[in-house]
Amino acid sequence: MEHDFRYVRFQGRELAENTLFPKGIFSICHQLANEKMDEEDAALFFEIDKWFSEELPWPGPCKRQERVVCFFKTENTEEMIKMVRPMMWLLEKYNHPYYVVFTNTPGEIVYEDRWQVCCKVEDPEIVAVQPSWSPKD
Amino acid sequence: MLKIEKQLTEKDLCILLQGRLDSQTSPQLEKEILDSIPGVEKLTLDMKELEYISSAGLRVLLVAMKAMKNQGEMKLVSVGETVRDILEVTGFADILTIE
Repeated sequence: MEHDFRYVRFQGRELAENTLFPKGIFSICHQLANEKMDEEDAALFFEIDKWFSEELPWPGPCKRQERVVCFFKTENTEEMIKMVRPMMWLLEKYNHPYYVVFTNTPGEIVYEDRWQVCCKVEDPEIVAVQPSWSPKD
Repeated sequence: MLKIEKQLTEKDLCILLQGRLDSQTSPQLEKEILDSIPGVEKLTLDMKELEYISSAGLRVLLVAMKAMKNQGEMKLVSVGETVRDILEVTGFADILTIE
């Protein structure tokens, strides 16, 4: 099913202060590595992070901490997504929840390269809870 | 404890690992690999007698894989059940070449 979607993002439950969007897996792992992971797990994460820094461009809008979030392009990132897997294992090891989000509508793209897009984050929309659909209710 | 045996045949290097690859022994393996691979085109890690691998060991495998990427290939052979389970659970079974 995941191959029907053009984009994928690995994110946590907590919201980033600048975007009010769930924090991405790299940001979460960095924080965990600095605050909670034991030394060898942190060293493993930093080696994985170094691999990404050599293979995956760091988008300008992210460097500038603009109100954007990044999605991998599913088409070109098989190898990269395999390298994310140990990061997910580390999050599981430290009981940190994460979600894998597939989408074809990531938002307004403000940066793009061969492997990823960065999309503008809109203000969250809060809507009333829908009445029940069940006629019995 | 980790015992390392190396066999170099022209540009093929085979490293046999015996024991545990953990935070105590990983620095030893990392140094052996990085000192030995200049000029090597095929690096084989024989894991038949490796009993356990920790995150520190996984990190060394990743370092070795990256180092070999520019000059050849690396593979793991004869991976035992315990180590294979660790590689599967951590996702490294899909990252490394395992025969």
